[in-house]
Amino acid sequence: MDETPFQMDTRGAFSMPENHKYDAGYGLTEETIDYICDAKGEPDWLRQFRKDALKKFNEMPMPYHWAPEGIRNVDFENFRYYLSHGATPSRSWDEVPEDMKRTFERLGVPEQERAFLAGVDAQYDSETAYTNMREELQKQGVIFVNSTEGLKEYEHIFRPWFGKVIPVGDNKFSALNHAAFSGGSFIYVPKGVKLAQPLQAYFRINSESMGQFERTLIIADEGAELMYMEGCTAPQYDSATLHSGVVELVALKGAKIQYVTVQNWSTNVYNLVIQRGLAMEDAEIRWIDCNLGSGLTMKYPAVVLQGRRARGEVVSISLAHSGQLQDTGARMIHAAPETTSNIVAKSISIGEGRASYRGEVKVLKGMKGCKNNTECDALLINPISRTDTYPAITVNGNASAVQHEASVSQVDEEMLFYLQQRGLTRAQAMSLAVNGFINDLVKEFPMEYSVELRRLIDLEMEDSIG
Amino acid sequence: MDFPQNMSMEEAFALAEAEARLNAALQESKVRFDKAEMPNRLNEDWRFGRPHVYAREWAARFKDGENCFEYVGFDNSDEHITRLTADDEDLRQTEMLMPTIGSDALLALHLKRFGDGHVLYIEEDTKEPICLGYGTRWAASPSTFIMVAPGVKAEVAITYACLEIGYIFATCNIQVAEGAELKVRVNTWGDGADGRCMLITNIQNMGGKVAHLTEYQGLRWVREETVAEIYAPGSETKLFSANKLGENAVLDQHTKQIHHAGGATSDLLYKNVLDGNATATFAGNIYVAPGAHNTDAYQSNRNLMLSEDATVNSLPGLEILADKVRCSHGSASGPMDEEQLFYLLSRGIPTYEAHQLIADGFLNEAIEKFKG
Amino acid sequence: MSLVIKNLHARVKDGAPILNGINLEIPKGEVHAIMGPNGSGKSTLSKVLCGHPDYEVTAGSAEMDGQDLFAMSVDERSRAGLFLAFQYPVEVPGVTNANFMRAALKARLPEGEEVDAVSFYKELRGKMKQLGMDPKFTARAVNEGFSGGEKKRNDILQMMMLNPSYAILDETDSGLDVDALRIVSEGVNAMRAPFRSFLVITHYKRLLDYIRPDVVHVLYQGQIVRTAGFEMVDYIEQHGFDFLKTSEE
Repeated sequence: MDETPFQMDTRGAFSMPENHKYDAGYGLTEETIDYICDAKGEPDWLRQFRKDALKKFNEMPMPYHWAPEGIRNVDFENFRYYLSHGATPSRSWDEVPEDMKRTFERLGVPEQERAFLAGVDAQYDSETAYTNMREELQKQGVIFVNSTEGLKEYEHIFRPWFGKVIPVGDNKFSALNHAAFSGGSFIYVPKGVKLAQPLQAYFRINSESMGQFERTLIIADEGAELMYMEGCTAPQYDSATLHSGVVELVALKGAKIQYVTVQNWSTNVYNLVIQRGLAMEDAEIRWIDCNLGSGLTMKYPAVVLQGRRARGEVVSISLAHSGQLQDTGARMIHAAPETTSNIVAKSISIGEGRASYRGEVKVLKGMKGCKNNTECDALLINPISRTDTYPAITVNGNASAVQHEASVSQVDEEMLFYLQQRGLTRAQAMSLAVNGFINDLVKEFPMEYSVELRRLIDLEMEDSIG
Repeated sequence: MDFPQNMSMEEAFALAEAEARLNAALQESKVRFDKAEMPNRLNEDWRFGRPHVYAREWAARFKDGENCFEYVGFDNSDEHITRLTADDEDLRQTEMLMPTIGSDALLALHLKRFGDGHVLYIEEDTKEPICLGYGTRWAASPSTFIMVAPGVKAEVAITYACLEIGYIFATCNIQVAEGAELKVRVNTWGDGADGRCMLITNIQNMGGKVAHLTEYQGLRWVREETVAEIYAPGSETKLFSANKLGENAVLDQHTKQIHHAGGATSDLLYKNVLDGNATATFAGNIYVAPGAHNTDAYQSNRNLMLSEDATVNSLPGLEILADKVRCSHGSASGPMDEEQLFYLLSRGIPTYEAHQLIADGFLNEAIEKFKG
Repeated sequence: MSLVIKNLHARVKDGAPILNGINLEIPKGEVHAIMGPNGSGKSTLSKVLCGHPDYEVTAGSAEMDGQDLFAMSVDERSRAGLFLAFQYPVEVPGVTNANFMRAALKARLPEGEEVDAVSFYKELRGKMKQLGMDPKFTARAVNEGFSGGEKKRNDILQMMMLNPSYAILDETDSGLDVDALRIVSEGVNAMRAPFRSFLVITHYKRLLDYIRPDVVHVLYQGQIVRTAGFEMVDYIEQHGFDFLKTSEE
């Protein structure tokens, strides 16, 4: 077996020399925040807001009482909190600095934009290098900018929702993000506008010891519909990198938001992300989440079902190989009657990899006619692989039904034998089996992503078994 | 120390030694208590247990003087039962080493008054269940030790009665040898006043078959911690619970199925019917240790909700570190099935009786499986 | 004395209408059959008469020996003498057949009176034997793990124990093999009496060859479109229900 640390997305495993105009240095203090605010040209209220959040961050405890052990190694002093060329993104790839442009070209972003996207936001370390959206959407009143621009140009829409779905004091990492955020998208889709093609964000970490704290707010007004996709990669370094984004979704009456993530960070990245959506009456929020990379991921996309008949769904795939802990899952809070939610999570543990499902489903007091269905399935590839399931379900009252089923299994040896007898290598056979295991979930991803996903899984199997 | 008049030197010496051991043991318990943390809200094992209310009340009660009375039903099995004595160093150590699920400090409190209880060493098949009973109107802390010899079949029934405002803190250590078969049915009840109970059970399965059933009724607060440790291939461990919870009842159950050895099976089915403002918490965990391959482990928590004020918390966990494991868990909480109810009504059974029948049937499923 | 249904309209709760004005009279002592294509409303009619909560009556009436059915709860209708053999008998986990039947019989006794255990078991065992059922079924949970045929027999057993005045058999023949069909039919025929009526819902002639109906109704799009004698059964067996569509055009 190959002993070298596995690097999955071979296309992401490269780096460009550092060439920053702004560098806030290591650690997060009031001075760092002043530096960030000056570099971004932010108003005083935001400066104060960030400093208040920093205070909270310093006061709040780490969630050691429930979080996986690995989080104890996170050392906030050893990250760099702001690295950028400047806070103004380009609207054309031609204006993007050469090294960044080459990076995104190698990752296939401009190509995808031409092929099937309605708009792209490409973030490089702390700032967005490029944002653009098709012209017809602009005419329909769709807003798609980075968070800095969103707060500047569209404060009247952004600010009322900013930190409302995920408040500053929600937990230590939300306080951290509120203090240090930079980059991420602000999207507003007006009443009744339905986007036929997805919007995409690409998060790229290039520099060593980087802390990336993107901030995304998506508001779908009444009856609006959109799909948003994010991809993430970083080069492998010896030192740790921190990615701690906050994503807030607001689906107003009858709106529909689908948020797709394919996370493929290198294994030196701590991926500690908070994602939560608020679904009002008859609205629907779906998180389609795929975690392939990062050494430690903690990520539990949530939907707060705030309006009658709101629907929430999380579809989650995670893959953990040696040196990885994927602590992923979902949260569903039924805060209105007749709300329904669905969670389907599948994980694959390879080598000494560990995949954990952690979930919370809550039906609040007095809520009638709520339904949740949760299914978690784990596949163990090697005898030393590990999987865990930690659901927490709270049901109030006798008018709601909540159901959770989980199973753990291995690839059927008989099936492998059958396939090998027909001439497939063990790795190919295993890859077929794994693809079969997650097949129904891969279909939930947009076509271009699902092709990529399958390719990555094939690579993974060849590397760990072949 | 007062010695009886007609005691020989040897006897007096032995007695003095025993008392010295007891004092040392009490001291050790005290140290353990001082070291252990009282359950608090940041302790995940007390996530829904409201330790700031219940555990503290508990500690306060056990710090006061005790007023315990107990009764024992011997039936036809005198030969299997001996009274536990406070100077039984081996058993005290056994209890000292009992795994708890977040209640170390409380167990230490219990150890301080070690000495009440019974030891069952069962070397021959029992014809009828061995019955043990404990009751109190204030506070009691009985310990039960059950050891079943290889190849022996036995049944034990334990009753705990928490009368009026009685608190019972009971521990039960069960050891089942290879080829042995044991059924333990634990019935804990109160008279509807403010009876409370804490039950810590440790099952060590060395290759036998164990079935364990707990039932609670008429109690204000119950915390159950049941740990089944599986040490040998071929072991079969089955854990059941069936409870009807009414107004003001709080049930907080924590279980662990620990597979140290591979090739064994464990199965858990915990069922509750909740009425009034009852609250039930189930936090279970299946742990399959590295190398415990070919394990079959199942866990299921089902709750039937009869009232809009009832609350259920269900945390069925899995931790799998071995290969060729067949493992699943499920949790379902919901109202009475409309079709079942309609079927019973359509046969002329009135609504109230139909509800009772379905609820009893729901719990019966666990009891019948226990009976096998 | 009869079961009289007048202009009955019903729908799935908050859903589409299924019964669109049914008129039907079943006098005591008669056996009526209802035939009709899938989706014509046969099972809905049986459930509405028994008061299934999924359906709501939007117009019309149903009287059983002068009693207003729709004013009664599900269990009151049963105790008044209405019985439904389910198309899909329901599994009731943990409740034994014996306890279930005792509870149903006890509900028919005056307040405070108990079912006599000895005669109850004697009667139950006897009827089970008649239906070719294993006596062990008394201790098994109601319908749980039963095959389709066993469930149907269990429903007929309940009918024999409860002695209804009006019994509706909803596709009792589906899922039964030839022998079981004969045994079940014999059980039903043995219960035919001047003080009892049957409404037999089926797709097929084979059941009606055993339980010969006095009157045959054809249900289509929620209405009784034909009422005839046994000759209708033969006609449908040969030609199917296509004639309904052509007559519509």
